[in-house]
Amino acid sequence: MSKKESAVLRAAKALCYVSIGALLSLAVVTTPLPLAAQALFGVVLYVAALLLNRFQQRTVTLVMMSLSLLVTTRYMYFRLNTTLPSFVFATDAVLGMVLVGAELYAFVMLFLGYFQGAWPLERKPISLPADLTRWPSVDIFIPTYNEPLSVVAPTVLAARAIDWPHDKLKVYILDDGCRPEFRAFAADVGVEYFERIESDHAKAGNINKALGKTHGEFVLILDCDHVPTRSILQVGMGWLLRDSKLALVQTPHHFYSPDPFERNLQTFRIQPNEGELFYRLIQRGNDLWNATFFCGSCAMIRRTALEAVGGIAVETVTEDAHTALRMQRRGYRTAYIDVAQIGGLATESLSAHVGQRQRWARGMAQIFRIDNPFLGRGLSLGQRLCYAASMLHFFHALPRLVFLLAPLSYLFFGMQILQGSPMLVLAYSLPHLLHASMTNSRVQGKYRYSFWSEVYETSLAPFILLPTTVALFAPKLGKFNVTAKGGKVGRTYFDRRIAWPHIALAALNLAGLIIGLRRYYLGLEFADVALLNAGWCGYNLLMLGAALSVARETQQRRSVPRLPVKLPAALLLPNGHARAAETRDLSLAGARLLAPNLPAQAAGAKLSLSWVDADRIAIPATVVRHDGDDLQLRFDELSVDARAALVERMFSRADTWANWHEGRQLDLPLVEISRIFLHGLRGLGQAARTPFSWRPRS
Amino acid sequence: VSRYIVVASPKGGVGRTTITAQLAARLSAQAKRCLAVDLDPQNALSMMLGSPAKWVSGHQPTPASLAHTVGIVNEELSAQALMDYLKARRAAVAHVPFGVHNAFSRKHAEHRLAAQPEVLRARIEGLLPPRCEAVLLDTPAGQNSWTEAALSLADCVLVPLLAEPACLAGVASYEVYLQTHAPRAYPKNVLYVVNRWNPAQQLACDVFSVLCDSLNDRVWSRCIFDDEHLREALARNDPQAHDPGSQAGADLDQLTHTVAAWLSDADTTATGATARAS
Repeated sequence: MSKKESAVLRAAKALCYVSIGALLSLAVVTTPLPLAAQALFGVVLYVAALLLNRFQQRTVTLVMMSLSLLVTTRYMYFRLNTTLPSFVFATDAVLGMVLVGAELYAFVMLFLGYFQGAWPLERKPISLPADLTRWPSVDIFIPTYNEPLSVVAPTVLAARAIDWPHDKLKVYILDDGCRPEFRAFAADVGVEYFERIESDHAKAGNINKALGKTHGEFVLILDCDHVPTRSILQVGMGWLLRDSKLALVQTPHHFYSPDPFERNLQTFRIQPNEGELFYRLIQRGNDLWNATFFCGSCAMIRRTALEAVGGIAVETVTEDAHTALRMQRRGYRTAYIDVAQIGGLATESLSAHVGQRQRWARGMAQIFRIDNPFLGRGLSLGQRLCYAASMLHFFHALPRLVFLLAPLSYLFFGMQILQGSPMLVLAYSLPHLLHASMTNSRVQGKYRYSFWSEVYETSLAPFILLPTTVALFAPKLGKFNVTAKGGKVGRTYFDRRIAWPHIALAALNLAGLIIGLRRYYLGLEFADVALLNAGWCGYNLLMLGAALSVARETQQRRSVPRLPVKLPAALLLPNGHARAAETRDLSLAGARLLAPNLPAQAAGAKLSLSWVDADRIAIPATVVRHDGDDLQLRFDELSVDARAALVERMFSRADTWANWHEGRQLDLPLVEISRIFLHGLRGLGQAARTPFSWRPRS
Repeated sequence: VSRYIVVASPKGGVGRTTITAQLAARLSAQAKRCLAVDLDPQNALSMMLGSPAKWVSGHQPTPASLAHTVGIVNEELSAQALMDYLKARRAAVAHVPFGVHNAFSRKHAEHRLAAQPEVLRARIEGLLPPRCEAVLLDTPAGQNSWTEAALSLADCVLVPLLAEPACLAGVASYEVYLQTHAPRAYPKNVLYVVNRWNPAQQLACDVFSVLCDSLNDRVWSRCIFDDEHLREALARNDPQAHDPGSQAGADLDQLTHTVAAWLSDADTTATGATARAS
């Protein structure tokens, strides 16, 4: 009785608080203030947020998110109420509505972003039963289409070495390219090989066909360049065994080679890369709402769940997310474990990167159109919001372009797409921007530094505008494109073909900046409006410049990636001596070792590299350089066993990737904006200096 | 209480004496009190530890003259005489040579040992330095009364092997031998150690795999690499020469570490047992 009463009481209390909060918020949002008062209000709230930001608790994060949303809602209310252009001038009104639309999109995405980042789950692996007979059978699928064997082989060799009962683990190469050398390799290393003559539905069709021919209780899908550690199954399978309604466990995609942003801006391992926000924060946030989705690779999937939805979805080009959505509609759960268990190759050039993102954007837009997460049955509100957030994210192209062009409508044509005094607009909009920036830095700073989202979006926007728009209106058009991996940029060049939209946008904004500044210095009418718009152009220029500096493809020195591996090793010299050494880094082509007390070795000298824990392998090598303690080796012809041993040394340790992110600095927004400023200047200079060096054809 | 570590192998020339000498030297360097005892008539251990037995040149030793030499074969040897002998030779590692012998004295000793193996323990305990933690026993190759007497004392047996088919052949019968004669050590405290390991030879790798399959966790997970350094040091009569870059040296360090860990482990279990008994 009392329990019931207290429950009712609690509900009533909660309702009270919520309604009081709602009323207060409504008041805060809707009360108009004159300039001075609004400015004071903004300063007070910002100082409050600054003070709050000193506390680390999660509840404080939620309060800061609420504050930020409150301020932003107040700005939007003001914007919609008082600043819309009058309908006297039709073009002004239309463009004004477009700008408001873009801002509304940003507002929705801010809310959804907070929702996804509010409470990231920290799911830990759980252990498997001690009785090995209770471990399930697992099939490992490695789909490939046109990637070279040198990219696929390490994945296969490492998959073979995964710690799991031998009779319960089968590795399959799913070759859509029907290449004889792949068949021979599979026979050599003792894994299964399936080929497919018809290559309809690309990767999804490839996997579905293999599903029909295999029987493991679970499948682990690995992209052909995603080399697993030996522990991947033991990390992920525990949860799948515990919960029979759990359809899949996803682990992060971890890249050990620099993507074009990291390579061309020299930020590799210094700052978070583009994928980290998603794999280290958003997927964990999704997990709270049981809305983690499949990312195409590194996931263990329950076969019965996959079969219940008819296999991997073939209707869209992001078959992974779509499949997960379908399984979730059927009531299956998904889980995310943020322990990197694979090492993969990042896209090697900006154009390849853009191609991959175009596919993601088109696929997500397709799902949004044909299987909208807001519609249909079987999803909770949290799941609907999380899925929608991930899909809507890819519609950023149009709003981004609107922001890049908006100030020009005034500077070029004198259109008033935003009414009201500039100072008042600033007084409303600055708190909105500053709060959002601070809160985002607090929530995401570890995974993406401030302002970098703008850089990424700016560089992609021109390219994903068309795919997303087309997919929205005609979701069936277009086909799957395979992301090229394992290539090499042979020389440094400026990729003008990929950069031309940004060059055009930068030229327009530069013109806008000059016009605005001229008007301000000449003291013409509405000089303050001109200055404001010129500032906006300047900011756009920086972002465009940063995007342009990525188009300068820096030459790659090595085609085979090296990994830091510290292991005691033995050097077998031709004179019968065995010397103790330690590897510093390893690749499939060679090694660098710390070898104190090694007699001087001439370049070209032959020796063998072995490991001390009875690895039963000696790899014949040639000395490249021996200088003091530092010894560089190039491997001679590698046997299959030698390659397998190297791959295991490089990739198989459970903690191979555990310390990858160590030693980074914290996100400092002012440092980041100045860094982007420098990148921007460099990019603009680069674009101006390179007249017509087109991308070389290979 | 001292622990007895016996180094024995079915086949000769696999490095028993080298391993015994290196272990004894390394344990002593770690300030572990230990005594190495040579039970092999070849007298090689004392040579490796820097005090070669002196042959009286020009005349055949007689039982009377042998009675005064230092060696395990001499029943009259006292701890004081051993101490004086080690001091005189500035031996860094406490050890008992096999001793100068002739066919007669050796036969005599072997007969006594076969009849009463416990005589060996009494003789060694009479020679132990104070607070000695480990006794390392180097034995002759194959199956013989010295080895059997040593194994009956063994708390732990190290079996050096080469990764060669010939060594593989003897392992199965040696297992039975160890089971019979080393009841305290077998099977938990028997460690097979692959010596002169060269992974560049495919045959060696295959033999190693077969060894691991048949003896599984009783094969040491590492190996002692084939390293010219050890042979050269021996040839220079400087077997304890420290060379930080030598791989075999590093491997022997690791083996010493394993043995030392095992010694302190045995100590704790012994104390635990005493505590439970009282």
